[in-house]
Parts: sequence; structure tokens; C-alpha cells
Amino acid sequence: MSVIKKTSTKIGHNPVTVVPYIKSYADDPYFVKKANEAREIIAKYGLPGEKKNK
Amino acid sequence: MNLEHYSCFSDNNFYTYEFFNEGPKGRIKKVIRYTKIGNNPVIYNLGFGDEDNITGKIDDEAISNNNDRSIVLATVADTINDFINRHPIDFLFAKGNSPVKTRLYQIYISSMIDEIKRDFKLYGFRNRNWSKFTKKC
Repeated sequence: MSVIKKTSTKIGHNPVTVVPYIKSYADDPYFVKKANEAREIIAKYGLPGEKKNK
Repeated sequence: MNLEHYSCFSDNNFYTYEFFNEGPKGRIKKVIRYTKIGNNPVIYNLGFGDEDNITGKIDDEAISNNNDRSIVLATVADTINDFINRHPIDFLFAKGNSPVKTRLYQIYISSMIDEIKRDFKLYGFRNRNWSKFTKKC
């Protein structure tokens, strides 16, 4: 039998808790892939307000 | 924002944020990673996904459906506010990985648009063009 404890939620300002054991994910393939996709889109279409040759 | 949200965690670099949600699908670790993709202007990409309990890999195609969608999105929004208060940034880029998720994010942003616009300029990308985000998107 398993017991699932409900994670507490809050309302209002949510200060972030700093903890030492957070994994960086800087080299995680998924986040690297998403960042590369974003770079491609921006390289191709520019940023809001920029004129880009398409 | 005065919405219900989960407690979230980061290290003292504040590029990665984590929180947990619980519901019918169990306890799921959500991870948000801000990755720098441009220096001038300063641009970051927002990546978001569920960490697989077994493999430790991130999956943004998972549909956890823990009946807490608005709380999850409010928590992600909290990390955006926290991140931009700690790091110099000109643009934050975020993209849904599917039409369903994109629509979900559009609906959520539309519901919060008045508050968002107090502090940010918000643009959407459609038909190869950027345009100011409006509620009718």
C-alpha cells in the first residue's frame, strides 16, 4: 500500500528555496536541443522589431 | 501573481528550477532550465519538462495530467519572475512542442495578459512573423 502525500501549494509571492542538490541540466540533451531549436528560429526569423532577410 | 502555485527550488545560480506536483499520476518532478542563446541582445530560452523517475531524462512530450495545470503554469511563471529579477535579460524565448501545448500556453497567457503587460512586452510568432500577443490569439 502506498501513501501519497499531497504537495503543499501556496498562494501569493513564491520565494524560491535554494538547495544544494539541484542538478544543473546545462548539458542535458533535451535542454540543449531546445536551445538549439530556439537559436535556429531566431537566426532564421529574427527577433520582434528586427528586419530579417527570409 | 496571487495564484496557487507549488514551492520551487533552485541552486544559487538560478538557471535551473525544480518543483513537484502530485495527483492521480503520482509525484512528478518538473524541471525548468533557462539557457542563454544570445549575448547581444541577451536572450534566454525557457525549457520545461518532466523528469522521468527511472531514467532521469527530461521529457516535454509527457502528458502528466495531474489535474493541476493552472498551478503548474503559475509555478513556471513564478520562476520566470524570479529568473529575470536575478539575471540581465533582453528577451525570453519559449515554445510549446506541440499544437496542443502551444494552445494551452496561449490560453494561460491570455488569462494573465493584463498582468503580464505591466512588466513585459509579449510577442507571438505566427505565419513567419512576430506580432504583439493579444487575447484573441
